[in-house]
Amino acid sequence: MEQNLGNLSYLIQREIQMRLLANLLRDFISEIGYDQAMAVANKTIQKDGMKAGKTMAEKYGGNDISVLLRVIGEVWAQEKALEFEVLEKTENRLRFNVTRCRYAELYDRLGIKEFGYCFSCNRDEPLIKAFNSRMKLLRTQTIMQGDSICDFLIILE
Amino acid sequence: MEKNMSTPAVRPISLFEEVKIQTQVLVPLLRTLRKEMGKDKADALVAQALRDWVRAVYLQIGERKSGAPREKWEGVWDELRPRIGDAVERELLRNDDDARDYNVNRCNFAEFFKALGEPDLGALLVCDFDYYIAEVGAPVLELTRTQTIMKGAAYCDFRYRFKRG
Repeated sequence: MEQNLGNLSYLIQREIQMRLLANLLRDFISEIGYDQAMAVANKTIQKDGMKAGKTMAEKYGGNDISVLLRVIGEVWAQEKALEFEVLEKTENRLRFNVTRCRYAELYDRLGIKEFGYCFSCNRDEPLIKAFNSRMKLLRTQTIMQGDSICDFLIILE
Repeated sequence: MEKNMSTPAVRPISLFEEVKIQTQVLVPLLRTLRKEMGKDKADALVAQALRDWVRAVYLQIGERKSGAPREKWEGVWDELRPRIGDAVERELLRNDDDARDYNVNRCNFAEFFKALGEPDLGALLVCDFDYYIAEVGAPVLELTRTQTIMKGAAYCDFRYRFKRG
């Protein structure tokens, strides 16, 4: 889901996909139950995150903290989809807060906020792990879950 | 159940581009489901959900059009045709008050889904909407199509009949 098609922004691509996914998922939930439907969605999203992380490392020709910050700025935050503030950046640590998340706003607008964490936030960890297997994401809060900021901390072990 | 859908509000993109973007999420989802519950059950589940959704999308577009059923049907196509563009190659055989017949001789959608190895998914996502749009024109309009490129035929045979009065 990560690659860009034509000139469409990542956010627009997400919108197209999430409308479809949310409607299918609602059908699945009524057919096979919430737990199984969400488990399938989670697995799909996480696999996609892994694929995206690998692709990003290849595309950017590196997988250190500096490259990750470029990916976050150029891909995740494309067209101001995220507004974020870097608090700490060393060779081994990247700490930043997301202060505005247009993905969360998008899910809200589409009336599918209950799936927002599963569809978006949930792919960050496998994505980062696939980007660099020595990286670990520690995050205690997200805007998607109702907090005022997302507090990202990425550690390179 | 609430249906959130319709085409994206931002700017019209080509239908082929939209379908490709949808497929990027749809195919991994389908494959995860197949692993979890077996191909038959997974395919049936996705087929039903897609039918519901795609039908609702096009009926909703139809509801926004004004006029008699046939005008609404034309209205949906007037909106959709530019988004399909040259992704399909049509050959008009007859077009009058009673009928519109054409064949589609080349279809990028079919080529795309066949290359993916998922022509059934293509039929659900693309070919079937012709019938849902035809529903917008019911009961004065009827579509009969006996074959499609997606399902392996050399061409798709669209035969619309218009009832008067």
